[in-house]
Amino acid sequence: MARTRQGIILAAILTGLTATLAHGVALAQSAAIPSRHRTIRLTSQKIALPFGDKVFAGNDKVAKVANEHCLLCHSRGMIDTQPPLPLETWKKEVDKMRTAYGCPLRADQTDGLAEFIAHAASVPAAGGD
Amino acid sequence: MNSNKLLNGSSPEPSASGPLPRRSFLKIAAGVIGGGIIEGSLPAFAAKLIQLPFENGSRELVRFPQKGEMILLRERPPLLETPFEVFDRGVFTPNDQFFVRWHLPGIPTSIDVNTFRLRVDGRVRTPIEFTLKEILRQPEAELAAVNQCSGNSRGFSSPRVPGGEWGNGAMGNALWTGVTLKSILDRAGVLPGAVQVRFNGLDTGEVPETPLFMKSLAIDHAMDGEVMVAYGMNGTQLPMLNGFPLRLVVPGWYSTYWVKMLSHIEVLDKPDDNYWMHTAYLIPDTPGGTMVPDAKGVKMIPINRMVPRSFITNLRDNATVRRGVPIEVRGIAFGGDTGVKRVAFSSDGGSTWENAALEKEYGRYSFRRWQTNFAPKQPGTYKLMANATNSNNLSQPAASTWNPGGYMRNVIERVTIHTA
Repeated sequence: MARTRQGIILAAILTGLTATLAHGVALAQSAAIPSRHRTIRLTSQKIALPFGDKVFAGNDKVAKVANEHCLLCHSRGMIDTQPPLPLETWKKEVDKMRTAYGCPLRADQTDGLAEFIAHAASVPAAGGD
Repeated sequence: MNSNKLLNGSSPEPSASGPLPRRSFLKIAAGVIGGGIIEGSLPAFAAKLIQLPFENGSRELVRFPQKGEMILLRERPPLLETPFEVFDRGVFTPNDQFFVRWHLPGIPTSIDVNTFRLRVDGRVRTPIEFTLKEILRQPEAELAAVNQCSGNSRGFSSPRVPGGEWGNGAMGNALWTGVTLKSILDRAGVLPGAVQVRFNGLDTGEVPETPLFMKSLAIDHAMDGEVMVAYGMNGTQLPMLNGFPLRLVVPGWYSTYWVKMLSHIEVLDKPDDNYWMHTAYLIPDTPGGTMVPDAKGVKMIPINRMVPRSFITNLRDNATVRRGVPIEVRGIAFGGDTGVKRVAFSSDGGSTWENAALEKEYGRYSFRRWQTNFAPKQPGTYKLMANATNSNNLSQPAASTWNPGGYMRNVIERVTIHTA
């Protein structure tokens, strides 16, 4: 039992260490909080995350609404990776952003925004399959 | 305009015009892939692309902090998928290629291990704020377990549904080290009347109206001695994007419960009705969580236990092999909420099956590697399939399940190969 457990630990540690060495994550021993575990030390971490730069093109009002609202909470990749969806589905999604997630959008802006996004995502403006 | 719509993944145009990028991190990072040359001014189309096998499945390969090459679904909040070939390399998924899924954009980018606190309160005798030092002094628990997104493989849903459009790489297997949730709750002393335990992390919405990402488990589940507060992942601390410094580990349950950057545990005296339990992450209350599209009045419940899956990892779809030459077919399987009992393999599209050899078991919640040998004797096309059966005798379905969230996909996968 003990040997099996050690085998598991070793296999997993090798997985972890390989990753650590390959990408040079610093293990600052000085400020580390040691655990009972042989290899785990907790050290303070600091990273920088990408913002996602793509915006919706165009100078019309609805492009501005999309850039100021959709892209407030998530990058454009969320929209660009969606499959072709019926316009009704896009309307539901936009309305969910407003009602469930608190997107500061007026109710009368949702349909127009959904149509714009559906078009921007190269989706037929109506129907779907 | 939308270059990502190209199905062949080749020579997309630069992205939509607009203001200059506020941050060029991602493109610089993408430029590192391939030749190992760092060049800040690389145009967007130099990014390495792959094609997931469904419509609009073109994706960039990128590197985020503390992560290796990953499939990009969304930069903010990050959705990063594990490239599938990683699963062929070992039973444990490396931390730097373990999938990443955040719901809210306000992700702390720095954590000080000396000031971080885990607060435990609610229906407890003694509310406690644990320092990391205190957590690490508790008896250590260790468990290998698969962490799989509820919506792993959503991109294969038919009809398609909105959401994170993952291929099969929103899953991973790690050895988790930490303390049992029971030991933490025992320190605080759960009071009579406790019904559920709610978990919250440090991530927040961009606007205050966005519901905090909180998930809850029944009190008996929380106290089962398996659910864990993990500070270790494959023998080292967690990457920030996988939940450093503490992450809830809920063996056998979908990843949505594995709250990252866990900072608050609250014992509730009534069922949690917060958005992420009551409205989001719901499945039909049917075997396999399946329903007919557009069906009305289907009873929905919070997603919970995982179901078995298996994958062939060393042969890609439409691979060509030499006729008559035996080849090894290998892969991974997991039982869902219990162990893998067997993996059956078929080379004829499911007409006949034989058991594959199961490799070492790392615990019932872990991936388990399997392998078999196969010699394509006749020229032509072979449909290779694997079907995992778990210890509760639950097998994978032959036909795809469906639900509006795109959750719980576990249909028998198929890899078609051809003889040369």
